[in-house]
Amino acid sequence: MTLNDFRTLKEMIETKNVIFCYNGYLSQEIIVAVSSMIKGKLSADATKMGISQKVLYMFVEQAQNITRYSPDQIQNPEEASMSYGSVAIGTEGDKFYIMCSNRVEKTKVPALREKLEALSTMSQEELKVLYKEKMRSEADEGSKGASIGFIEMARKSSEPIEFDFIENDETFDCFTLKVVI
Amino acid sequence: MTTIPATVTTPKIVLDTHNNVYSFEGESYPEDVNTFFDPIMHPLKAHLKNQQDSNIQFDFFLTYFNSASTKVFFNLFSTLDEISEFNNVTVNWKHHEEDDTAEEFGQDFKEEIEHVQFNFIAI
Repeated sequence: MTLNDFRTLKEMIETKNVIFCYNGYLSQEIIVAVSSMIKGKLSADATKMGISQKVLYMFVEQAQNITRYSPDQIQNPEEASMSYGSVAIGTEGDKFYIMCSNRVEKTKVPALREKLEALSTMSQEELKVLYKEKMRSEADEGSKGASIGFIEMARKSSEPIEFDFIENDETFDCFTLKVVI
Repeated sequence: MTTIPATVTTPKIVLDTHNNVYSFEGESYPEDVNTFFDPIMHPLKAHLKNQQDSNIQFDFFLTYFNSASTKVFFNLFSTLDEISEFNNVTVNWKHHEEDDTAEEFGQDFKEEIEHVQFNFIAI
């Protein structure tokens, strides 16, 4: 990367009113540190507490999805495990966007796509019913979280969640998700 | 009485089984929710299920928690609902006055527990 390349990248990020943008290996320690930065920044901007709590919630859910599910992981017995992915938080007008991206095994894409497509078209009432159902049931197979993170994100998002899967290579797709508050 | 101090990603937990007063205060988004909560929740639920005609009080003041933690508390509330048939159970759900997100979580929980006295306390 040349100095010019890096400046172009930085300028591109800045035109999108980015508060935070990260591309690399994420760990729980980094999530904790960034959460603290988000709280400090939104508090300094006098963002309403209800809104800043939602921004924080979305960020932690998305970042923890990467640390749990990104296939690009480093397991180091000496250090905490780390997973590769991207996260961005910024503003569009008077709204906040929170986005994430990581690779997903192609075999897992159809089930994930089906789940997210359903969530993106559901009403608040339908989302709440599904949320309660999932709360009472056991976690989905292969899920390390509560399998309710996406539902909760859809409930808190002020617009339907946006997502896509783009071909990465023969084994992986690149998954990208955007929520707006 | 057991007190588990808060960490950056886990709440301060006070379990006073003698007086049946319990509190959870702080943030909750550990990397592995089950590793943290299972050793606390299993004995707690077993104790609660042995109670009869007792006054049982739970105070929650959670400023932030992730979805996996929500499920842990949801399960605890199911137990509270079960035991409330034989006990007098009170939940005090504290939240910052402007924090409508925490208040909404409380509303979700409240809807799940029919016989428990559920109080919202804005701070």
